[in-house]
Amino acid sequence: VADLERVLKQEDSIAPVSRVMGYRIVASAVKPYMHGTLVGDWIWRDGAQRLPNTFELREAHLYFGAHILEVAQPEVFVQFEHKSQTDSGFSVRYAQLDLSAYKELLVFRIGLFLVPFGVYNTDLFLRYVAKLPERPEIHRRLVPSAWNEIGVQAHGRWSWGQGRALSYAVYLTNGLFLPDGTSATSTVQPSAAIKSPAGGKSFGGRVGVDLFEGLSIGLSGYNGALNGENGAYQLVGLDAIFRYGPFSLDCEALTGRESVTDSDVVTKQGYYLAVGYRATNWFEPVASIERVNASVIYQASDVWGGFNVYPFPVGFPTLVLKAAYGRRIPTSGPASNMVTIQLVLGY
Amino acid sequence: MRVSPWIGLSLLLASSVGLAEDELRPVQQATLLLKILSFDRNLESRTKGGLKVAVVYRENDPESEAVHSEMTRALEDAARSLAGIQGPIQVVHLPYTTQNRFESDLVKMRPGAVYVAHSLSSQINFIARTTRRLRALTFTADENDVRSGLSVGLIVRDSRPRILVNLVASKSEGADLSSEMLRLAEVIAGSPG
Repeated sequence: VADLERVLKQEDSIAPVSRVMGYRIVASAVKPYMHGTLVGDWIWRDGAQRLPNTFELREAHLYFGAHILEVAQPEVFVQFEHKSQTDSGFSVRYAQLDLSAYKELLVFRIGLFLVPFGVYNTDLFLRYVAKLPERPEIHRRLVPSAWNEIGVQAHGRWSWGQGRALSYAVYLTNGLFLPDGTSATSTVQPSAAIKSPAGGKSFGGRVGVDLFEGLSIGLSGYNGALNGENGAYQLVGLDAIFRYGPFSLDCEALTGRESVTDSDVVTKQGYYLAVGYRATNWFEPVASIERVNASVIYQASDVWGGFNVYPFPVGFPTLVLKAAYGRRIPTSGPASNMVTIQLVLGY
Repeated sequence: MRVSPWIGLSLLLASSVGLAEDELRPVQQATLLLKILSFDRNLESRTKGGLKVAVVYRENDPESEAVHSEMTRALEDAARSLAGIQGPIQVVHLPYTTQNRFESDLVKMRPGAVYVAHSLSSQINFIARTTRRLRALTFTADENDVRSGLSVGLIVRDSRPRILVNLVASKSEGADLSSEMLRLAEVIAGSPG
Protein backbone atom coordinates (compact mmCIF):
# COMPACT_ATOMS: atom_id res chain seq x y z
CA VAL A 1 0.00 0.00 0.00
CA ALA A 2 2.87 2.34 0.84
CA ASP A 3 4.23 1.65 -2.63
CA LEU A 4 0.91 2.56 -4.23
CA GLU A 5 0.71 5.68 -2.09
CA ARG A 6 4.18 6.68 -3.24
CA VAL A 7 3.16 6.40 -6.90
CA LEU A 8 0.12 8.57 -6.23
CA LYS A 9 2.29 11.23 -4.59
CA GLN A 10 5.03 11.10 -7.19
CA GLU A 11 6.17 14.48 -8.52
CA ASP A 12 5.62 15.16 -12.22
CA SER A 13 3.11 12.35 -12.60
CA ILE A 14 0.70 14.68 -14.39
CA ALA A 15 1.45 16.19 -17.78
CA PRO A 16 -0.44 18.02 -20.49
CA VAL A 17 -1.38 15.98 -23.54
CA SER A 18 0.89 16.82 -26.50
CA ARG A 19 -1.01 17.72 -29.63
CA VAL A 20 -0.22 19.06 -33.09
CA MET A 21 -3.11 20.80 -34.87
CA GLY A 22 -5.42 19.16 -32.36
CA TYR A 23 -4.10 15.66 -32.97
CA ARG A 24 -2.55 13.77 -30.11
CA ILE A 25 1.13 12.88 -30.56
CA VAL A 26 2.61 9.74 -29.05
CA ALA A 27 4.73 11.89 -26.78
CA SER A 28 6.51 9.04 -25.02
CA ALA A 29 8.02 7.99 -28.37
CA VAL A 30 9.36 11.46 -29.11
CA LYS A 31 12.45 12.76 -27.34
CA PRO A 32 12.71 16.36 -28.53
CA TYR A 33 15.79 18.55 -28.29
CA MET A 34 16.90 22.03 -29.11
CA HIS A 35 20.51 23.11 -29.49
CA GLY A 36 22.24 26.09 -30.99
CA THR A 37 25.32 28.13 -31.63
CA LEU A 38 25.84 31.82 -31.26
CA VAL A 39 28.84 33.58 -32.73
CA GLY A 40 29.78 37.26 -32.38
CA ASP A 41 32.71 38.92 -34.16
CA TRP A 42 34.78 42.02 -34.12
CA ILE A 43 36.28 42.52 -37.58
CA TRP A 44 38.91 44.78 -39.07
CA ARG A 45 39.94 44.71 -42.74
CA ASP A 46 41.88 46.99 -45.06
CA GLY A 47 42.50 47.12 -48.80
CA ALA A 48 39.82 45.60 -51.01
CA GLN A 49 38.21 44.01 -47.96
CA ARG A 50 37.98 47.34 -46.16
CA LEU A 51 36.00 47.17 -42.91
CA PRO A 52 37.63 49.60 -40.49
CA ASN A 53 35.91 48.61 -37.24
CA THR A 54 32.72 46.59 -37.05
CA PHE A 55 30.91 44.21 -34.81
CA GLU A 56 28.96 41.42 -36.42
CA LEU A 57 26.53 38.79 -35.31
CA ARG A 58 28.17 36.12 -37.43
CA GLU A 59 25.64 33.42 -36.79
CA ALA A 60 22.80 32.40 -34.53
CA HIS A 61 21.86 28.82 -35.30
CA LEU A 62 19.06 26.80 -33.78
CA TYR A 63 18.64 23.07 -34.20
CA PHE A 64 15.22 21.62 -33.41
CA GLY A 65 14.83 17.89 -33.58
CA ALA A 66 13.64 14.70 -31.99
CA HIS A 67 14.66 11.10 -31.57
CA ILE A 68 11.69 8.87 -32.35
CA LEU A 69 11.81 5.20 -31.33
CA GLU A 70 15.50 4.98 -32.28
CA VAL A 71 14.36 4.86 -35.89
CA ALA A 72 13.58 8.38 -37.01
CA GLN A 73 15.25 11.70 -36.36
CA PRO A 74 13.74 14.83 -37.89
CA GLU A 75 15.83 17.96 -37.49
CA VAL A 76 15.35 21.54 -38.60
CA PHE A 77 18.27 23.95 -38.62
CA VAL A 78 17.12 27.55 -38.55
CA GLN A 79 19.76 30.19 -38.98
CA PHE A 80 20.15 33.90 -38.55
CA GLU A 81 23.25 34.59 -40.60
CA HIS A 82 24.60 36.92 -43.29
CA LYS A 83 22.35 39.67 -42.04
CA SER A 84 22.55 42.91 -44.03
CA GLN A 85 20.72 46.25 -43.97
CA THR A 86 18.12 44.81 -46.36
CA ASP A 87 18.11 41.12 -45.55
CA SER A 88 17.03 39.74 -42.18
CA GLY A 89 19.43 36.84 -42.63
CA PHE A 90 16.74 34.43 -41.41
CA SER A 91 16.65 31.14 -43.31
CA VAL A 92 16.31 27.39 -43.03
CA ARG A 93 19.69 25.75 -43.58
CA TYR A 94 18.28 22.28 -43.50
CA ALA A 95 15.06 20.45 -42.69
CA GLN A 96 15.68 16.75 -42.91
CA LEU A 97 14.36 13.44 -41.74
CA ASP A 98 16.73 10.56 -41.02
CA LEU A 99 15.27 7.07 -41.05
CA SER A 100 17.49 4.30 -39.82
CA ALA A 101 17.04 1.17 -41.94
CA TYR A 102 19.77 -0.82 -40.23
CA LYS A 103 21.44 0.76 -37.19
CA GLU A 104 24.05 3.30 -38.36
CA LEU A 105 25.01 1.15 -41.34
CA LEU A 106 22.15 2.39 -43.50
CA VAL A 107 20.29 5.60 -42.82
CA PHE A 108 18.02 7.29 -45.34
CA ARG A 109 17.71 11.06 -45.32
CA ILE A 110 15.03 13.09 -47.09
CA GLY A 111 14.30 16.78 -47.29
CA LEU A 112 16.56 19.80 -47.49
CA PHE A 113 20.01 18.72 -46.33
CA LEU A 114 23.61 19.87 -46.36
CA VAL A 115 25.39 18.32 -49.32
CA PRO A 116 28.00 15.95 -47.89
CA PHE A 117 30.94 17.25 -49.89
CA GLY A 118 34.31 17.70 -48.21
CA VAL A 119 34.75 18.14 -44.50
CA TYR A 120 32.91 21.39 -43.82
CA ASN A 121 29.44 20.12 -44.51
CA THR A 122 30.19 16.83 -42.79
CA ASP A 123 32.64 17.09 -39.89
CA LEU A 124 33.82 20.67 -39.37
CA PHE A 125 30.66 22.69 -39.86
CA LEU A 126 30.40 23.87 -36.25
CA ARG A 127 32.57 26.87 -35.49
CA TYR A 128 33.65 25.52 -32.13
CA VAL A 129 35.04 22.50 -33.99
CA ALA A 130 36.70 24.39 -36.88
CA LYS A 131 40.09 25.79 -35.94
CA LEU A 132 40.09 29.23 -37.58
CA PRO A 133 37.45 31.94 -37.07
CA GLU A 134 36.92 32.20 -40.84
CA ARG A 135 35.79 29.29 -42.95
CA PRO A 136 38.09 28.50 -45.87
CA GLU A 137 37.42 30.65 -48.93
CA ILE A 138 37.07 27.54 -51.07
CA HIS A 139 33.78 27.03 -49.21
CA ARG A 140 32.63 30.49 -50.28
CA ARG A 141 34.19 30.89 -53.71
CA LEU A 142 34.35 27.39 -55.16
CA VAL A 143 31.31 25.69 -53.70
CA PRO A 144 28.02 27.32 -52.64
CA SER A 145 28.52 28.92 -49.23
CA ALA A 146 25.28 27.51 -47.86
CA TRP A 147 25.35 24.28 -49.79
CA ASN A 148 22.05 22.62 -49.14
CA GLU A 149 19.87 20.80 -51.63
CA ILE A 150 16.52 19.05 -51.69
CA GLY A 151 16.41 15.33 -52.35
CA VAL A 152 17.16 11.93 -50.90
CA GLN A 153 20.33 10.54 -49.41
CA ALA A 154 21.60 7.27 -48.02
CA HIS A 155 24.45 7.36 -45.59
CA GLY A 156 26.06 5.11 -43.06
CA ARG A 157 29.10 4.16 -41.09
CA TRP A 158 30.73 0.82 -40.46
CA SER A 159 33.37 0.40 -37.76
CA TRP A 160 35.64 -2.62 -37.95
CA GLY A 161 38.07 -1.95 -35.13
CA GLN A 162 39.39 0.59 -32.68
CA GLY A 163 39.46 3.89 -34.58
CA ARG A 164 38.79 2.21 -37.91
CA ALA A 165 35.64 2.93 -39.85
CA LEU A 166 34.23 3.36 -43.30
CA SER A 167 31.57 5.99 -43.91
CA TYR A 168 29.62 6.79 -47.03
CA ALA A 169 26.92 9.07 -48.37
CA VAL A 170 25.19 9.01 -51.74
CA TYR A 171 22.46 11.39 -52.78
CA LEU A 172 20.13 12.48 -55.55
CA THR A 173 18.80 16.04 -55.48
CA ASN A 174 17.05 18.74 -57.49
CA GLY A 175 20.37 20.48 -57.94
CA LEU A 176 21.18 24.17 -57.87
CA PHE A 177 19.58 27.37 -59.08
CA LEU A 178 21.04 30.65 -60.32
CA PRO A 179 18.83 33.66 -61.10
CA ASP A 180 18.33 34.50 -64.81
CA GLY A 181 20.99 36.73 -66.26
CA THR A 182 23.76 35.61 -63.90
CA SER A 183 27.04 35.78 -65.79
CA ALA A 184 30.19 33.75 -65.32
CA THR A 185 31.92 36.71 -63.68
CA SER A 186 29.16 37.18 -61.11
CA THR A 187 29.89 36.37 -57.50
CA VAL A 188 26.24 35.34 -56.93
CA GLN A 189 26.21 31.91 -55.35
CA PRO A 190 23.78 29.25 -56.54
CA SER A 191 21.16 28.09 -54.07
CA ALA A 192 19.11 24.94 -53.68
CA ALA A 193 16.60 24.38 -56.51
CA ILE A 194 13.29 24.14 -54.66
CA LYS A 195 11.80 22.17 -57.54
CA SER A 196 13.22 20.88 -60.78
CA PRO A 197 10.64 21.79 -63.42
CA ALA A 198 12.84 20.38 -66.19
CA GLY A 199 13.56 17.25 -64.19
CA GLY A 200 17.26 17.98 -63.81
CA LYS A 201 19.00 16.12 -61.04
CA SER A 202 22.28 16.28 -59.17
CA PHE A 203 23.94 13.21 -57.81
CA GLY A 204 27.06 12.65 -55.81
CA GLY A 205 28.67 10.93 -52.92
CA ARG A 206 31.39 10.87 -50.37
CA VAL A 207 33.44 7.99 -49.03
CA GLY A 208 35.40 8.44 -45.82
CA VAL A 209 37.90 6.07 -44.27
CA ASP A 210 39.21 6.25 -40.72
CA LEU A 211 42.48 4.40 -41.27
CA PHE A 212 43.49 4.53 -37.62
CA GLU A 213 42.46 6.49 -34.58
CA GLY A 214 42.86 10.18 -35.40
CA LEU A 215 43.11 10.01 -39.19
CA SER A 216 40.18 10.15 -41.55
CA ILE A 217 40.39 10.67 -45.29
CA GLY A 218 37.47 11.49 -47.56
CA LEU A 219 36.81 11.54 -51.28
CA SER A 220 33.81 13.49 -52.57
CA GLY A 221 32.26 13.80 -56.01
CA TYR A 222 29.38 15.90 -57.28
CA ASN A 223 27.74 15.98 -60.69
CA GLY A 224 25.20 18.74 -60.41
CA ALA A 225 22.26 20.17 -62.27
CA LEU A 226 22.36 23.95 -62.53
CA ASN A 227 19.05 25.54 -63.51
CA GLY A 228 17.90 22.13 -64.69
CA GLU A 229 20.92 21.46 -66.89
CA ASN A 230 22.42 18.16 -65.84
CA GLY A 231 26.17 18.05 -65.33
CA ALA A 232 26.59 21.83 -65.37
CA TYR A 233 28.25 21.85 -61.96
CA GLN A 234 30.95 19.27 -61.32
CA LEU A 235 33.32 18.95 -58.41
CA VAL A 236 35.75 16.41 -57.03
CA GLY A 237 37.43 16.83 -53.66
CA LEU A 238 39.85 15.08 -51.36
CA ASP A 239 39.98 15.86 -47.65
CA ALA A 240 41.68 14.71 -44.47
CA ILE A 241 41.32 15.29 -40.75
CA PHE A 242 44.20 14.31 -38.51
CA ARG A 243 44.27 14.46 -34.71
CA TYR A 244 47.28 13.29 -32.73
CA GLY A 245 47.39 14.29 -29.09
CA PRO A 246 47.38 18.11 -28.94
CA PHE A 247 48.10 18.41 -32.68
CA SER A 248 45.40 18.79 -35.32
CA LEU A 249 45.47 19.15 -39.08
CA ASP A 250 42.57 19.66 -41.49
CA CYS A 251 43.08 19.87 -45.23
CA GLU A 252 41.06 19.73 -48.37
CA ALA A 253 41.62 20.13 -52.10
CA LEU A 254 39.06 20.31 -54.85
CA THR A 255 38.70 20.89 -58.55
CA GLY A 256 35.68 21.39 -60.75
CA ARG A 257 33.79 23.39 -63.31
CA GLU A 258 30.58 25.38 -63.47
CA SER A 259 28.77 26.07 -66.76
CA VAL A 260 26.78 29.23 -66.10
CA THR A 261 25.71 29.31 -69.74
CA ASP A 262 26.78 27.24 -72.74
CA SER A 263 29.63 29.64 -73.42
CA ASP A 264 30.46 30.72 -69.84
CA VAL A 265 32.42 28.06 -68.04
CA VAL A 266 34.21 28.72 -64.77
CA THR A 267 36.95 26.30 -63.83
CA LYS A 268 37.73 25.96 -60.14
CA GLN A 269 40.63 24.67 -58.11
CA GLY A 270 41.64 25.26 -54.56
CA TYR A 271 43.08 23.84 -51.39
CA TYR A 272 43.53 24.77 -47.77
CA LEU A 273 45.42 23.44 -44.82
CA ALA A 274 44.73 24.37 -41.20
CA VAL A 275 46.77 23.31 -38.19
CA GLY A 276 46.40 23.74 -34.46
CA TYR A 277 48.36 22.76 -31.38
CA ARG A 278 46.70 22.59 -27.98
CA ALA A 279 49.64 23.97 -25.96
CA THR A 280 47.53 23.78 -22.79
CA ASN A 281 43.98 22.59 -22.40
CA TRP A 282 42.79 26.22 -22.69
CA PHE A 283 45.19 27.69 -25.26
CA GLU A 284 45.65 26.62 -28.88
CA PRO A 285 47.71 28.46 -31.51
CA VAL A 286 46.27 27.94 -35.01
CA ALA A 287 47.34 28.72 -38.58
CA SER A 288 46.10 28.10 -42.09
CA ILE A 289 47.07 28.58 -45.69
CA GLU A 290 44.89 28.32 -48.74
CA ARG A 291 44.73 29.00 -52.44
CA VAL A 292 41.58 29.64 -54.43
CA ASN A 293 41.44 29.83 -58.20
CA ALA A 294 38.08 30.37 -59.85
CA SER A 295 38.85 31.46 -63.42
CA VAL A 296 37.64 34.96 -64.39
CA ILE A 297 36.08 35.48 -60.93
CA TYR A 298 38.63 35.22 -58.19
CA GLN A 299 42.22 34.12 -57.62
CA ALA A 300 43.91 34.66 -54.27
CA SER A 301 45.91 33.10 -51.49
CA ASP A 302 45.06 33.53 -47.82
CA VAL A 303 47.32 33.02 -44.83
CA TRP A 304 45.99 33.10 -41.27
CA GLY A 305 47.58 32.83 -37.85
CA GLY A 306 46.05 33.20 -34.42
CA PHE A 307 44.95 31.41 -31.32
CA ASN A 308 41.91 29.90 -29.63
CA VAL A 309 41.14 30.18 -25.94
CA TYR A 310 38.87 27.69 -24.20
CA PRO A 311 37.78 29.33 -20.90
CA PHE A 312 36.14 26.14 -19.59
CA PRO A 313 38.00 23.33 -21.35
CA VAL A 314 36.64 20.64 -19.04
CA GLY A 315 33.25 21.93 -17.93
CA PHE A 316 32.09 23.51 -21.19
CA PRO A 317 34.50 23.08 -24.10
CA THR A 318 32.09 24.53 -26.66
CA LEU A 319 32.77 28.09 -25.53
CA VAL A 320 35.72 29.36 -27.55
CA LEU A 321 37.34 32.76 -28.02
CA LYS A 322 39.17 32.95 -31.33
CA ALA A 323 41.52 35.67 -32.55
CA ALA A 324 43.37 35.60 -35.84
CA TYR A 325 45.23 37.83 -38.26
CA GLY A 326 45.09 37.04 -41.96
CA ARG A 327 46.59 38.35 -45.17
CA ARG A 328 44.90 37.98 -48.54
CA ILE A 329 47.18 38.10 -51.56
CA PRO A 330 45.24 38.28 -54.83
CA THR A 331 46.88 37.31 -58.11
CA SER A 332 46.34 40.86 -59.27
CA GLY A 333 45.89 43.91 -57.10
CA PRO A 334 47.08 44.87 -53.64
CA ALA A 335 47.03 42.56 -50.63
CA SER A 336 44.59 43.02 -47.73
CA ASN A 337 45.09 42.56 -44.02
CA MET A 338 42.35 41.03 -41.91
CA VAL A 339 41.72 40.64 -38.19
CA THR A 340 38.83 38.68 -36.65
CA ILE A 341 38.12 38.30 -32.97
CA GLN A 342 35.30 35.86 -32.41
CA LEU A 343 33.36 34.42 -29.51
CA VAL A 344 31.71 31.08 -30.23
CA LEU A 345 29.17 29.38 -28.03
CA GLY A 346 27.66 25.98 -28.75
CA TYR A 347 24.83 24.92 -26.50
CA MET B 1 16.13 28.94 -48.53
CA ARG B 2 14.90 32.31 -47.28
CA VAL B 3 11.69 32.54 -45.25
CA SER B 4 9.99 35.43 -43.54
CA PRO B 5 11.03 35.64 -39.88
CA TRP B 6 7.39 36.00 -38.90
CA ILE B 7 6.39 32.84 -40.71
CA GLY B 8 9.31 31.05 -39.13
CA LEU B 9 8.43 32.28 -35.67
CA SER B 10 4.78 31.32 -36.18
CA LEU B 11 5.80 27.81 -37.22
CA LEU B 12 7.97 27.43 -34.16
CA LEU B 13 5.23 28.63 -31.86
CA ALA B 14 2.50 26.62 -33.56
CA SER B 15 4.40 23.43 -32.89
CA SER B 16 4.34 24.02 -29.16
CA VAL B 17 1.01 25.71 -28.65
CA GLY B 18 -1.90 23.63 -27.52
CA LEU B 19 -4.67 23.62 -24.96
CA ALA B 20 -3.50 22.64 -21.50
CA GLU B 21 -5.23 19.31 -20.96
CA ASP B 22 -3.68 17.43 -18.08
CA GLU B 23 -3.67 13.69 -17.70
CA LEU B 24 -1.84 11.16 -15.64
CA ARG B 25 1.31 10.24 -17.53
CA PRO B 26 1.02 6.85 -19.27
CA VAL B 27 3.96 5.51 -17.28
CA GLN B 28 2.17 6.37 -14.02
CA GLN B 29 -1.09 4.91 -15.28
CA ALA B 30 0.69 1.69 -16.23
CA THR B 31 2.44 1.41 -12.88
CA LEU B 32 -0.80 2.08 -10.99
CA LEU B 33 -2.71 -0.42 -13.12
CA LEU B 34 -0.26 -3.24 -12.39
CA LYS B 35 0.00 -2.36 -8.71
CA ILE B 36 -3.79 -2.19 -8.31
CA LEU B 37 -4.05 -5.66 -9.88
CA SER B 38 -1.80 -6.97 -7.11
CA PHE B 39 -4.50 -5.91 -4.61
CA ASP B 40 -7.10 -8.09 -6.35
CA ARG B 41 -7.53 -11.18 -4.17
CA ASN B 42 -9.17 -12.98 -7.09
CA LEU B 43 -6.41 -12.21 -9.59
CA GLU B 44 -4.91 -15.67 -9.51
CA SER B 45 -8.23 -17.40 -10.06
CA ARG B 46 -9.14 -14.96 -12.84
CA THR B 47 -5.84 -15.26 -14.70
CA LYS B 48 -4.93 -18.88 -14.88
CA GLY B 49 -1.98 -19.30 -17.24
CA GLY B 50 -0.47 -15.88 -16.59
CA LEU B 51 -1.59 -12.28 -16.55
CA LYS B 52 -2.45 -10.61 -19.80
CA VAL B 53 -3.29 -6.92 -20.03
CA ALA B 54 -5.19 -5.93 -23.17
CA VAL B 55 -5.20 -2.37 -24.46
CA VAL B 56 -8.42 -1.84 -26.35
CA TYR B 57 -8.62 1.09 -28.74
CA ARG B 58 -10.71 2.28 -31.62
CA GLU B 59 -9.02 1.47 -34.88
CA ASN B 60 -8.65 4.33 -37.37
CA ASP B 61 -9.13 6.92 -34.65
CA PRO B 62 -5.94 8.98 -34.27
CA GLU B 63 -6.67 9.91 -30.64
CA SER B 64 -7.41 6.35 -29.61
CA GLU B 65 -4.49 4.91 -31.58
CA ALA B 66 -2.10 7.41 -29.98
CA VAL B 67 -3.29 6.49 -26.47
CA HIS B 68 -3.00 2.80 -27.36
CA SER B 69 0.56 3.32 -28.51
CA GLU B 70 1.50 5.28 -25.38
CA MET B 71 -0.14 2.84 -22.98
CA THR B 72 1.20 -0.28 -24.66
CA ARG B 73 4.76 1.02 -24.39
CA ALA B 74 4.24 2.17 -20.80
CA LEU B 75 2.66 -1.15 -19.78
CA GLU B 76 5.46 -3.14 -21.40
CA ASP B 77 8.06 -1.05 -19.54
CA ALA B 78 6.20 -1.32 -16.25
CA ALA B 79 5.65 -5.05 -16.75
CA ARG B 80 9.38 -5.53 -17.27
CA SER B 81 10.26 -3.63 -14.11
CA LEU B 82 7.61 -5.43 -12.04
CA ALA B 83 8.07 -8.88 -13.57
CA GLY B 84 10.26 -10.00 -10.69
CA ILE B 85 7.54 -9.09 -8.20
CA GLN B 86 4.37 -10.00 -10.06
CA GLY B 87 5.58 -12.68 -12.46
CA PRO B 88 5.48 -12.43 -16.25
CA ILE B 89 2.92 -10.03 -17.65
CA GLN B 90 1.90 -9.99 -21.32
CA VAL B 91 0.58 -6.85 -22.96
CA VAL B 92 -1.73 -7.47 -25.93
CA HIS B 93 -3.37 -5.21 -28.52
CA LEU B 94 -7.11 -5.24 -29.00
CA PRO B 95 -8.45 -3.03 -31.79
CA TYR B 96 -12.15 -2.32 -31.46
CA THR B 97 -13.97 -2.42 -34.79
CA THR B 98 -17.28 -4.17 -34.21
CA GLN B 99 -18.97 -5.57 -31.12
CA ASN B 100 -18.82 -9.13 -32.45
CA ARG B 101 -15.15 -8.94 -33.26
CA PHE B 102 -14.32 -7.36 -29.92
CA GLU B 103 -16.16 -10.08 -28.10
CA SER B 104 -14.55 -12.91 -30.05
CA ASP B 105 -11.08 -11.38 -29.70
CA LEU B 106 -11.55 -10.98 -25.97
CA VAL B 107 -12.68 -14.57 -25.64
CA LYS B 108 -9.54 -15.71 -27.46
CA MET B 109 -7.21 -13.48 -25.45
CA ARG B 110 -8.71 -13.98 -22.01
CA PRO B 111 -6.96 -11.00 -20.44
CA GLY B 112 -7.02 -10.40 -16.70
CA ALA B 113 -7.22 -6.66 -17.23
CA VAL B 114 -8.39 -4.41 -20.03
CA TYR B 115 -7.27 -0.82 -20.46
CA VAL B 116 -9.88 1.08 -22.49
CA ALA B 117 -8.35 3.91 -24.52
CA HIS B 118 -10.14 7.10 -25.57
CA SER B 119 -12.94 7.40 -28.15
CA LEU B 120 -14.88 4.33 -26.98
CA SER B 121 -17.37 6.09 -24.68
CA SER B 122 -20.30 5.11 -26.90
CA GLN B 123 -19.35 1.43 -26.51
CA ILE B 124 -18.76 1.37 -22.75
CA ASN B 125 -21.95 -0.54 -21.97
CA PHE B 126 -21.10 -3.31 -24.40
CA ILE B 127 -17.45 -3.42 -23.33
CA ALA B 128 -18.48 -3.64 -19.67
CA ARG B 129 -20.98 -6.40 -20.34
CA THR B 130 -18.30 -8.43 -22.16
CA THR B 131 -15.56 -7.90 -19.57
CA ARG B 132 -17.95 -8.86 -16.78
CA ARG B 133 -18.79 -12.06 -18.55
CA LEU B 134 -15.11 -12.85 -19.07
CA ARG B 135 -14.00 -11.62 -15.60
CA ALA B 136 -11.53 -9.01 -16.87
CA LEU B 137 -10.98 -5.90 -14.73
CA THR B 138 -11.30 -2.69 -16.74
CA PHE B 139 -9.24 0.48 -16.43
CA THR B 140 -9.55 3.86 -18.10
CA ALA B 141 -8.28 7.42 -17.83
CA ASP B 142 -11.77 8.82 -18.41
CA GLU B 143 -13.83 9.51 -15.27
CA ASN B 144 -17.11 9.43 -17.22
CA ASP B 145 -16.35 5.94 -18.48
CA VAL B 146 -15.97 4.75 -14.87
CA ARG B 147 -19.31 6.29 -14.01
CA SER B 148 -20.78 4.56 -17.08
CA GLY B 149 -19.65 1.10 -16.00
CA LEU B 150 -15.89 0.55 -16.23
CA SER B 151 -14.16 -0.40 -12.98
CA VAL B 152 -11.06 1.67 -12.29
CA GLY B 153 -10.27 5.21 -13.31
CA LEU B 154 -6.70 6.52 -13.31
CA ILE B 155 -7.53 10.17 -13.36
CA VAL B 156 -6.42 13.67 -12.42
CA ARG B 157 -8.41 15.69 -9.92
CA ASP B 158 -7.32 18.98 -8.35
CA SER B 159 -4.00 18.54 -10.15
CA ARG B 160 -3.33 15.30 -8.31
CA PRO B 161 -3.41 11.65 -9.43
CA ARG B 162 -6.50 9.83 -8.23
CA ILE B 163 -7.78 6.27 -8.35
CA LEU B 164 -11.50 6.08 -8.95
CA VAL B 165 -13.18 2.74 -8.31
CA ASN B 166 -16.64 1.74 -9.46
CA LEU B 167 -17.11 -0.96 -6.82
CA VAL B 168 -20.20 -2.53 -8.39
CA ALA B 169 -18.42 -2.81 -11.73
CA SER B 170 -15.19 -4.22 -10.27
CA LYS B 171 -17.11 -6.90 -8.37
CA SER B 172 -19.09 -7.72 -11.48
CA GLU B 173 -15.82 -8.20 -13.32
CA GLY B 174 -14.77 -10.74 -10.73
CA ALA B 175 -12.26 -8.61 -8.85
CA ASP B 176 -12.03 -8.49 -5.08
CA LEU B 177 -10.00 -5.36 -4.38
CA SER B 178 -8.56 -5.18 -0.88
CA SER B 179 -9.87 -2.61 1.57
CA GLU B 180 -6.32 -1.24 2.02
CA MET B 181 -6.22 -0.32 -1.61
CA LEU B 182 -9.76 1.03 -1.61
CA ARG B 183 -8.83 3.38 1.24
CA LEU B 184 -6.48 5.14 -1.20
CA ALA B 185 -9.17 5.36 -3.85
CA GLU B 186 -12.34 7.32 -4.36
CA VAL B 187 -15.10 4.75 -4.43
CA ILE B 188 -18.29 5.41 -6.30
CA ALA B 189 -21.45 3.38 -6.33
CA GLY B 190 -21.43 3.46 -10.10
CA SER B 191 -23.80 2.19 -12.67
CA PRO B 192 -24.59 -1.47 -13.04
CA GLY B 193 -23.59 -1.02 -16.68
